[in-house]
Amino acid sequence: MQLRKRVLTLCVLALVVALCQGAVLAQEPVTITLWHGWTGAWTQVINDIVEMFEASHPHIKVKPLVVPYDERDTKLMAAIAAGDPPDIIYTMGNIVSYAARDAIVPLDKLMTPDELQVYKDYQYPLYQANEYKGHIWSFHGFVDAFALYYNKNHFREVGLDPDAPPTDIATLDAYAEKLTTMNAAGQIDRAGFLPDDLWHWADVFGGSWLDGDKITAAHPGNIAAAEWFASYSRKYDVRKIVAFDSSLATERAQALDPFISEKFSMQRMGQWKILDIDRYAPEDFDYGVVPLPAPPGGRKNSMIVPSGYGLIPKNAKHPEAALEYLLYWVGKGHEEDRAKIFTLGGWFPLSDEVTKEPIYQDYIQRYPHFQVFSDLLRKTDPTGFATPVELFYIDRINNARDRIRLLQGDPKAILERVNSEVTAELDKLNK
Amino acid sequence: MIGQIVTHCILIIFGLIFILPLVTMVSTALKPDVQIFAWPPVWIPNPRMWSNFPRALTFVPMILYAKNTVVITATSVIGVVLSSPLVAYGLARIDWPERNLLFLLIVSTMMVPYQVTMIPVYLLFNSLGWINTYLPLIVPSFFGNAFFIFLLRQFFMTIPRELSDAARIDGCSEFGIYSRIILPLAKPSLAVVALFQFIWAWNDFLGPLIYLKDQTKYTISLGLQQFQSGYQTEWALLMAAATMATFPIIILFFFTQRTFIQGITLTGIKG
Repeated sequence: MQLRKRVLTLCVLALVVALCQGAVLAQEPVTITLWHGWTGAWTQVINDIVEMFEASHPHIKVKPLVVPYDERDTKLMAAIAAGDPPDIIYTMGNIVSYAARDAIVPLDKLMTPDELQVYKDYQYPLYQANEYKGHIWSFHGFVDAFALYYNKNHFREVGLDPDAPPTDIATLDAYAEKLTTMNAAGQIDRAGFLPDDLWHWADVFGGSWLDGDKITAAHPGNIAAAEWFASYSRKYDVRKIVAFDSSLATERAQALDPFISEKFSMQRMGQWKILDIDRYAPEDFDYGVVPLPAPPGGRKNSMIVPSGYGLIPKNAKHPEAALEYLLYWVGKGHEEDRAKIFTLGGWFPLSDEVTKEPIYQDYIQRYPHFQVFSDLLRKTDPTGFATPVELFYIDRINNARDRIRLLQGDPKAILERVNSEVTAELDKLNK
Repeated sequence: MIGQIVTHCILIIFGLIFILPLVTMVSTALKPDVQIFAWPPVWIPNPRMWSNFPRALTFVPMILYAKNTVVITATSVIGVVLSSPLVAYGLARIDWPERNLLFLLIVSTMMVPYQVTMIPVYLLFNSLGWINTYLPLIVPSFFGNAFFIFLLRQFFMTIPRELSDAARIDGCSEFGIYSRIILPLAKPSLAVVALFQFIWAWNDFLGPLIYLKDQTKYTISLGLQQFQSGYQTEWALLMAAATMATFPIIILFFFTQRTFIQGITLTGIKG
């Protein structure tokens, strides 16, 4: 009897110990490494967000590491070759080239089809920007949106209604002419408006840079946008535009926007400028924000989204935990935290659910202009830009833009050349 | 007399051209942001922003990075000074079969760019478990360096054989000849080796970049890169930090200048 009791007690004890150990093992957090390029004051913001994440995910610890942005590929490729990569690496754009080199894991392999669908729906339609060859390579944790900022005081000055900003290209052109002022030397003193980014404006004009895998730089919509760029150089004299550009050097050196120093009456800019204006503009600075004006047949609420955000390298040790961190930024199930992330660094969430959070709403109340971008994200049918030659393509487009603005050739011929150059580069990769 | 003035003028002009980047660096370090890209360039900033220096030290933990760099640099200097002359001595002063072939092999490794061997070497250190330690940055220097071996071998060849023979007759061992006769004679060239290694290790970027995975282990060169991000560059702070990072090398050069130049002329290597 005594013996049986003892044996029983021992068994129970062993069971308890085993259970405790199991529990301890289950609680042992995994540590994921996160390489990012946010330096200086931003490093602390990222560390704060990591702390928030760890608080809601006690089973995961995150070890962030600042990696010099320009050299991250060297470090990553050495680490991947040795089978010792980080669990997450951040990059802006160009993810398809990583995918093409077989350096990253598609997220759909880490999720069940149902889970994947939930997140696709949650981020609809912006998830498409990270889709390539039938796989999802990342989920955008945030996105930058662009709209037209206009200076209401300048509108009043020239007799325009400050509450009726341009909504189409013809009006934009007419207003730009009215708002432009010249100094005594006949040089541009203030520009009403100047087209800036051909990559995005081509999308506004109904153009397209990619058709599946095919490069379509000479799309009629792109040519229309390019012609429009050239029309400004002809109207205002290209030499005066160049002189005006170089006179903006002082603003740039101060990291100030020429819009804030009132060198422009209207300008295409991203949502983060709202915070800059709040910080740097004088008290009486009165401005409005509207979606980019579009020509007839163009795209209203145009948004062109580079691929990017956090990637999970091949052979990462804890891909599942890494995925949890990436999805944390998407915000599903962590709406309040995600709204807080928005207020910490101006990283726009992509989902409607997050925008319902009180923190988000308070912030929008404080900076009402964010509403325009929030609406834009809801209404837009975004254009993705996923190609293995993303950076090369962008570089060629910018080069073409400069040549078109300087009237160094026929816009159509210039874009056709971009088309053949980028196609050749893509063929070289595919060989 | 006129010839001398002309020579001096030319030398001064070239001197000014070479000092320009240094002046720009120090001047930018003291500029308020507004003046950095001003045209025509502002040479003497007004007001002078001395505060850029302490700001640079807090923007990125530069003092910690400096400590790490000193550890790596000092140890690797000791490494090359211990190992390279020993190998060079063997190649220069002892006769053995095919030693010239081996010397050729050693020297030819200098032709292989670092980028080519980077990944295989990384894999090697990874299998030793040395990633995220200073070992890959330090240990190789204890196994000789092709350039320094070449440099020292050339110098050792110029020392008369009779010195060794005399020592040998007096009963000195081979190692005794090396440590008591040859090394003391080679002090200036050893100083050159130490200085070169100091500059290389101090400025090394790629090595620490790929091997270190913990921010508290980062070095100065990695720290300097952190002033540039994908979005913006803190030029004034970057230049302030760069000035501070360059300072030790300049100071060292001023103090060792004489030995340095003597060493270079002795070994017949210029530049």
